[in-house]
Amino acid sequence: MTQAKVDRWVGSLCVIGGVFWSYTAYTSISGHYDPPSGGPQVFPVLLGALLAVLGVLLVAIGFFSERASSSEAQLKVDALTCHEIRIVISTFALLLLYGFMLEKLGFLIASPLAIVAIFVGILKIYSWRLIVSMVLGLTIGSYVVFGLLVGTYLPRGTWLQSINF
Amino acid sequence: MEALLAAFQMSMGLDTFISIVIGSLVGLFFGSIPGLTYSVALVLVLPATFAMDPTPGIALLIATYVGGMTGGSVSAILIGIPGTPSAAATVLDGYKLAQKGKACSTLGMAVIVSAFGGLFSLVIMMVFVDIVAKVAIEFGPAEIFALVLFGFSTICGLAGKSLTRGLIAGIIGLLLMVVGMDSIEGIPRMTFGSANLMQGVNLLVAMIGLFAVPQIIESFLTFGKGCPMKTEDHCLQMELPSLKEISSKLWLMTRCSAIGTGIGSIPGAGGPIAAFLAYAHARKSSKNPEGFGEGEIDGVVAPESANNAVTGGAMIPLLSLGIPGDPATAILLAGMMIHGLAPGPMLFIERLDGIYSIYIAIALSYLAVLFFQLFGVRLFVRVLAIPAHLLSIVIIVMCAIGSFAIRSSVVDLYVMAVMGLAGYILQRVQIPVTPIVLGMVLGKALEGQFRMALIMTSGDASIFLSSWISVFFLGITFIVVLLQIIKTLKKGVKMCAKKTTLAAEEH
Repeated sequence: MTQAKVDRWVGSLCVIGGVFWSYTAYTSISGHYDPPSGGPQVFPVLLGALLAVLGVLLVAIGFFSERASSSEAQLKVDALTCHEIRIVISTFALLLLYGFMLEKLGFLIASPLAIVAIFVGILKIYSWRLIVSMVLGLTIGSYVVFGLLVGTYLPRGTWLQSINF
Repeated sequence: MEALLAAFQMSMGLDTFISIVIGSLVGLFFGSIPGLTYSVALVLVLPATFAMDPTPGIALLIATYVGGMTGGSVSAILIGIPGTPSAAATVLDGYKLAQKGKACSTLGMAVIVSAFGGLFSLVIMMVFVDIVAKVAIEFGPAEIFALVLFGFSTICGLAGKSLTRGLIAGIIGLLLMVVGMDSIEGIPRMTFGSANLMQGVNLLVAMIGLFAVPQIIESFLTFGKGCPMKTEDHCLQMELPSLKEISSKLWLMTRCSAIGTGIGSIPGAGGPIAAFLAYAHARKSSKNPEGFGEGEIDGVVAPESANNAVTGGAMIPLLSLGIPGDPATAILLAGMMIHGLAPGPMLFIERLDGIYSIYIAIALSYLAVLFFQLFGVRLFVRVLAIPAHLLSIVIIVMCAIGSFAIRSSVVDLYVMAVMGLAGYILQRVQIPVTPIVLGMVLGKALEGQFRMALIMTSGDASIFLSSWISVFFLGITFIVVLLQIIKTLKKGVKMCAKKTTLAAEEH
C-alpha cells in the first residue's frame, strides 16, 4: 500500500472519528454554549470538528499527491504479515492480562506468570535457565527495590486478600 | 554578608552533605524510571525530613527535585522512553544518537548541559529574582493561554515531513485530555458512563504507553524475524564529549537556559513547555534543521538545558511570592513551611540566611548530580549491550510498576496498553507520536486558561488583546503558523510545476 492510500484511509477515519466525537460531546455534555466561558462543551466539540477538517485535508493530500506522483506519496507502507500481527496482538493481550493478574493475584504471582508467558508464548524461548533467572531476578529485584526500599505500593491481589486463612 | 556566612556555615555540615548525596541519588533513580518521577520521590522523601534540622531537610528536598529533573534524560536517551514529561523532547534526537552508538557522549552532553541550565537559572534567580517575579506575576490566564498556544505552534517543528499529520496528532493529544471531569465545572466529559474514565487519561501513563509499548512490540517483532537487536560492545563509543564540543554549544545552551528560566518562572507553565519551546528554537536557528529528529546533538542540548533551567525559574515565584508552579514545587513549599521558612516577600527580609542556604543547596545538588551521572554514564550505557527483547521484558515490568504507582489504579495499566497499541498503529501510518504528547501536556492549560480568562471578563474576548504579553505571544504564534503554511504551499506548487514540466518534456 502506498503512503497516499494510507493517508486517504487515515484521513477518512479522522473524519468519522471527529464527527462522532463532536456529536457525542454535543449530546452528552451538559452546558450548551454557556457564557461567559463557553462552557465545558465548546472545546470538545471544536476539537472534534478540527479533527474532521484535518481528516478531509489529509484525504485531499492523499489524492493530489498521488496525482502529482510525489516521491512521498509513492513510498510503500509495508503491511504486517500474519506472524507479525500475531505478535502485536499477543503483546497487547499480554499487557491487558498482566494488568488483570496484578489486580487479582498481586505483583509477586502476576509478574512471574507474565514473564513466562512472554518467553514461551511470544518469543518462543524455552531455555528454562534463562526463564527462571529472569523470573527470579526481575520479580524479586523489583519487589525488593520498589516494594521494600522505595516504598512504592505494589498490588497485593484482591483474590488472595479475600481468602481467609 | 553575615547572612551569607551563616548560610555557608549551615550548608557545609556533614548532615547537609549527606542529605544532598542521598537526595540526588533518589531523585536520579525516580526521574529515570518512567512513571515514577520526581514528584513521587518528593512525596516519599518529605516525611523523612520531619525529624531533620531545617537546612539538611530542605537540602534533601531540593536535591531530590534537582536529581529527578535531570534523571529523565537517562531513559529518554538510552531506551527512548522519557523518564519525566520534561524529557519527552530529548527522546527525539537522543535515542537516535544512542542507536548510532553515541549513547555515552550524548548522555554525557545531556548531563553537562543540564547542570549548566540549572546553575544558569540559579544565577538569574539570585540576581534578578525581584524583576523576574514582577514580570511573572503579570501572567494572568490570558497571557498563559497565549504562551501555551505559542507552545502548541511548535508542533510545526515536530511534525516532520507532514504538517497535517502532525496537527492530527496534536489534536488527538488535546482530545485525550478532554476525557474525565471538567476542571472548572466538575462535570464528566466523554466518559461514556464509565466510572474509571472519570479520572481521565493520565499524562505519564499515556506517555509510557506511547513511547514504551511500540518499542517493545518492535523488539519482539525483530526478534521474531531472527535478528535480535543488541549493540555490540565494540560499537559502544565510550567517550564523553570534549571541551571543544561543549564550548561550541555554549551560546545555544545560554539561550535555551534563558527560555527555561523564563518559562519556569511562570506558575503552571512547567518543564515540558520549556523543553519543546527550546527544541523548536534550536531547530529554527540551526544550520541543519532537517537533521533534527534524526540524531542531531542540538536536539538534546536545547531541551535538556531548558528543562533544568526551569528548576531555578520555578523557585522565583515560589520564594518571592509563595506561589508553587507545579506539584513538585508545592511539595517543596510544604517542606519549607514545615521547617519554618515561609516563602513570600518577608522571607527576603527576615530570613536571608535561609534564602542563601537554599541557593547553596541548589548549586551543590547540581554539582552532586553532575558528578554521579558523569561517573555513572559508562555504566548506564552498558544497558544497550543487553539484547533488546530481554530489555523489553524488564521495561514491561518497570512500566507496569510505574503506571500503577501513579494513582494505585490498575485501570492505568489498561490505558497504557491501549495507548501503546494506538501509538504503534499511528507510527506505522506515519502519524508522529511526539505531537500527541505535546497536545496532552498543553491541553488542560490551553482550555483552562482560555475559559478562566473569559470568566474573569464575563465573556469579553478582548482580554486576549489587552496586554502586551498576550499580544506578543499570539502574534508570534500567528507568524509561525503562517510561515509554515506558506512553506507547505510553496512545496505543493513546486511539486505541481515539476510534474507539469516532466509531462511537457515527455510530449
